[in-house]
Amino acid sequence: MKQGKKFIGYLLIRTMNCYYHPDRISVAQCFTCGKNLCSDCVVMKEGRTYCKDCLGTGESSIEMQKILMPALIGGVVGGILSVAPVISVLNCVLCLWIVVGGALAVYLVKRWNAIEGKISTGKAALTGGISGCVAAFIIVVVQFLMVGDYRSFLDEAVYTPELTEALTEAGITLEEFAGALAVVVILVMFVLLALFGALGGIISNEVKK
Amino acid sequence: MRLRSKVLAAVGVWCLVIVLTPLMRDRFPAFSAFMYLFFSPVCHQLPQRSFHIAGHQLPVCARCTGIYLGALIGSSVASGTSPPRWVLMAAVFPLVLDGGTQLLFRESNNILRLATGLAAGFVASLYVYAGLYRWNNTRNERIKG
Repeated sequence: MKQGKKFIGYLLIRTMNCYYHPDRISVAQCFTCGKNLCSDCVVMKEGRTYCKDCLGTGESSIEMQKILMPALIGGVVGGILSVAPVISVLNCVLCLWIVVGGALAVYLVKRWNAIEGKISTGKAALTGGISGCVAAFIIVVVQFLMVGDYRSFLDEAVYTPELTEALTEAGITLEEFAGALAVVVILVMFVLLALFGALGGIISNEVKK
Repeated sequence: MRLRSKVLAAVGVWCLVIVLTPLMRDRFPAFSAFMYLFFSPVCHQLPQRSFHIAGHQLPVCARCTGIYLGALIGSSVASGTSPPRWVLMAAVFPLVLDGGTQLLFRESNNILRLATGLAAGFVASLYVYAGLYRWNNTRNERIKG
């Protein structure tokens, strides 16, 4: 009980007091990272409050055309790794290669434009999202080239026996609806891989030493 | 609606759909079929590597289930600060080690898959939340300005 109270007290101090000086009341929050700051730690810049760690690493703006090439490269890398023999199996871990492709794209954006800090979360998500779409395109094209028809594509893309049973119970046969189902899988693939690429982009943007 | 509520709602709905898919299987097979199809591009859906509810498997494997649950828990406690890089590496390493070695010379089990997924999902969500927090701040500033 005593330990619990101590812990709650600790949490309150962490949330109400300065992040760097837990014995002082906070007077502001860092615009970039959200840390609570006391009057000694807060730095004002252009009407916003920052902590000293984030002051030099605020968001850098970047034009749309500068994210396209890194996104393309991230997508190609993610797509190739996703269809390459053996290593593609790691995609089972929540589309690992797609997330890596998105992360790589954002890394390249920062590297090529000499950005020390972060780009905006929106641009990071967009870069990763485009990279995910490129990867999805490569996966779909390669899988179709390898198997040749809708039915085989579905067999390659969907393994679940539960799905086949559920389809049968819903009165949908793979033979009749293979084309339509393959289109659904492809659309879903683009949406989900864009989402996972965007997540990779956001994580890569947020990671700091 | 505050940012945390929005994030929790989004991740919560995602997790809810995963749990509902096997539960709805007998009553609404078309819904279940679509959900199995929906999650198929992002998970292998092997029955022996997935948890089962009411006799039917979840539409994602035990590892993915752990990642999504971890993300749900992480989103509820995340602050606007992203942890240092080593935290992400430490959280993802067990997952990659477990997933990688089971391809080569050992067989993992669903509890281990769930546990390693939980850790990775939890930590990854801290970074994503920090990014969204900053995004939200910038947007609010723009609206005010």
